[in-house]
Amino acid sequence: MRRLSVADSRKKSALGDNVPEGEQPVMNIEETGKATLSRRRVLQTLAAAGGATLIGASAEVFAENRISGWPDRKGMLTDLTECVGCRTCEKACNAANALPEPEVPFDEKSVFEKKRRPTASAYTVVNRYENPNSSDKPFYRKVQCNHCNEPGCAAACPVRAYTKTPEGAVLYNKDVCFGCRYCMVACPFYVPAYDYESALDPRIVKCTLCHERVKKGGIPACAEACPVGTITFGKREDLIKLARNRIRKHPDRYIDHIYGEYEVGGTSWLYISGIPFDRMDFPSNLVDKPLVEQTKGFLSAVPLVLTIWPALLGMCYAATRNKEEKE
Amino acid sequence: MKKATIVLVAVALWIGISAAGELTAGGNVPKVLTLGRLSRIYEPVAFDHSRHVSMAGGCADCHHQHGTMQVQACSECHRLDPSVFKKSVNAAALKPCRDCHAASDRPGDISRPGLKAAYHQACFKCHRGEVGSVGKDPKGCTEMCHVPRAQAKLEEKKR
Repeated sequence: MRRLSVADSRKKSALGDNVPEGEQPVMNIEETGKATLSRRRVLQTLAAAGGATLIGASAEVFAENRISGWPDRKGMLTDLTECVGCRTCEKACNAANALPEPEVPFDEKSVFEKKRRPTASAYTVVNRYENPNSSDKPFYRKVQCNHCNEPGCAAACPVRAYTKTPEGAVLYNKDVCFGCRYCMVACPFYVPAYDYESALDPRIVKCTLCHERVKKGGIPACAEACPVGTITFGKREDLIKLARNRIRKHPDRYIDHIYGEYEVGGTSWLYISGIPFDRMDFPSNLVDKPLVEQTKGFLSAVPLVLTIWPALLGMCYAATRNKEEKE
Repeated sequence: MKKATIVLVAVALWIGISAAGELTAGGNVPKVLTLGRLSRIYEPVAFDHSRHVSMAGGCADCHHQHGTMQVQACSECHRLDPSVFKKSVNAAALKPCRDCHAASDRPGDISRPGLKAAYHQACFKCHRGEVGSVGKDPKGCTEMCHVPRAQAKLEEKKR
């Protein structure tokens, strides 16, 4: 018993237990060979449970780091200097996902007059931007879900309708969705679209990175269809190397930035460009940390506040009420 | 001198394509080629090689091995046959583009563009903004080179 004193006192101080040593019954395995339950044991268990609740948040951090750790996850690299705005990717996406025929045909350039967003009937759209160096060669930007490493939509979803797959895609499950559209608000790229046509059957619509095709060993429809090689499909790690190589080889052609490498904790879809990204309406105010990190501290405190505070305040109330009655 | 020879030898064929084409009298340079290996959405493309030869600054404008920083032996791309070579320096066969640029839709070597991308990148050196409306109008593809398969079938029926 005496031999344990150092470790024991440390445990005690951690528990805030100031009962003098020796005066209390302790669990003594060495002497009896059986574990007997003591007051200290109960206190230790309670403290451990409390501690686990407190460090719950950091356990989640670990879980999310695991997402970034899938080394073979796939991605796409869009070289915005190559795109000629032919809209073949839009057409291929439409066919691959069996989407309705568009109102304006795919070879129509009038769509470029407005900046479009993905909709329930178009998972990807191409927008046109002026080229400051040559009016003959405008730039085009293909917009679709960027498949974040740690997606804000998934973090915001109250029913876990979103899944980040080991292959890289962020998938949406219509069956559990009840149509709150928090994901639409949470997405920093304004991607998830809502199918307003089906009011009784809520449905969010967005790019799936052609998950089924990829699982079968194929490549996403847009990347396959692109005639100029604007979109490259591959392992995200390899794509980053490829992008860096291109920037290094042609410093006059590209700006030194791979969009999506770090933005909001990194995205599966990466971009390289000849002009600054904010001039092509890419959000330039994004932090490098996943968006979920911004809210986690607060959100993980909510259950604690909801359970502990009522009890605490109730006790205060009870204590003061008794005092008042005595007076 | 050696370099000049290499450049002359590089006067090239767009082989690797289900190619047909009359040859010019002097050299072994194809006149019109039919590029059809990838035709799925569009009909095969009739490529007027001799017209491009007369307009381009040199073979290297399209055949990218020359004028790049890549160090390659001539024989890596050119099939040189000494007996033919004596008659004409142009009479050498160029390695098909598809030998390096894969034509498949499977994920492959991402370090170099696939066959479709390689063709288009070569074309768009000039045909983007400068010649034709590619890069300004999605209709540019059909205006410049491509006849959609469905449209071709319709025209056939009319005949």
